[in-house]
Amino acid sequence: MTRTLLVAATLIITAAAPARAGWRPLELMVIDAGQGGAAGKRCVDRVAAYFKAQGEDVDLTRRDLAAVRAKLPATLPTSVLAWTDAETAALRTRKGDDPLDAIVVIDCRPDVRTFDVVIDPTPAGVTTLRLRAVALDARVLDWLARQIQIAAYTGFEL
Amino acid sequence: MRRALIGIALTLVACKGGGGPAANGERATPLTGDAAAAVVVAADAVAVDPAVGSDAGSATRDAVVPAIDAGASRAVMPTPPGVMRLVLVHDVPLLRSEEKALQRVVSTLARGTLKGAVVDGGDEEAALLAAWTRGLPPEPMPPLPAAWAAAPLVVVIRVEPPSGVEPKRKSGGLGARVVFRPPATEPIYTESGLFPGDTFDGLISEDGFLSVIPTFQKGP
Repeated sequence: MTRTLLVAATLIITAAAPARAGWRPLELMVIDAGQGGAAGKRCVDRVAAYFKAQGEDVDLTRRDLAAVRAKLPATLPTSVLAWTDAETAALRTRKGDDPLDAIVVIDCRPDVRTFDVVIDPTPAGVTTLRLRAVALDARVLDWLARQIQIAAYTGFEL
Repeated sequence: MRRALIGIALTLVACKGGGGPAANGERATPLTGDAAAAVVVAADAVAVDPAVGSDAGSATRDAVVPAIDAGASRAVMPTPPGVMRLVLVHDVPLLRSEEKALQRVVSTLARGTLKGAVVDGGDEEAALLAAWTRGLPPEPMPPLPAAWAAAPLVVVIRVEPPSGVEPKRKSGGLGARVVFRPPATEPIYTESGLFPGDTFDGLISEDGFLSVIPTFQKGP
């Protein structure tokens, strides 16, 4: 009887473990458009920190625009809000690997309280978020990061 | 020994519901509303303490004001002064499941720290949402509906049409969102493009879309 209970307990322990079958992280590349100076960089740092805090659920790659500029079209729209798949498509592809789940380009300017971001999660289009006249404190930036993460999951497949 | 094993097993089964992070990226939507709350139709409104938003921890009233009947017309419906206005723009009637979920939003807005009135969007509000979520900001910026003048904050959300056919229709979730702080004609927040389909329950989850509203209401 005790043996039966041990087997049952083992089975339950196995079943109780968090389901991870088929799991994989959301693979994000976050790019600082670099228009906000030092304050803008700190702003993007905060957003990136939110993603890092998601642990193994988010695999984050951080880049400055200058580092990836060569992969982008010669002429870019002034505002990231006007970016389309055409601008970010080359960044999503990876040699010998699946494409990244999403490219996120952030133009954060805390001094003038503006935050623009384009999220390219699929070849089917982009999502843009635009914030104005709101102080970009930690709470707001964490909230924005969460909205970005939700948008980045569009079209996510295991 | 046997009793101990059974105890462990029961504890583990109970813990299983907690789970780890969502494997598919679907966010958890813990409700702050009460499922047993009185039924409130989608166009109902709740009274709001005008001071709400200036202090997230301030005490608030839970008084219920008369329902606002959106009716068949698409006129812009009024909301009580000093109340956050949550406008839902949808081209087809909400599914029953969406109405139930919306009731939880209404209930939460009636009881919680954050209070607001939920209304069906009029034609003018639908046009405004479309103008601001079509791409780059419209030039010139369109004026705000007169009914918004007394609202400290207006949240306009598109409810996407359901997919599938009767009787197996599935909610299309929530789409484009714009937040205004009248009388400024430029929205403080605009979200457009592709959407993963947020839900009504997602709006009121602990870190959901509406969680930032008290901060937005503080003003410049």
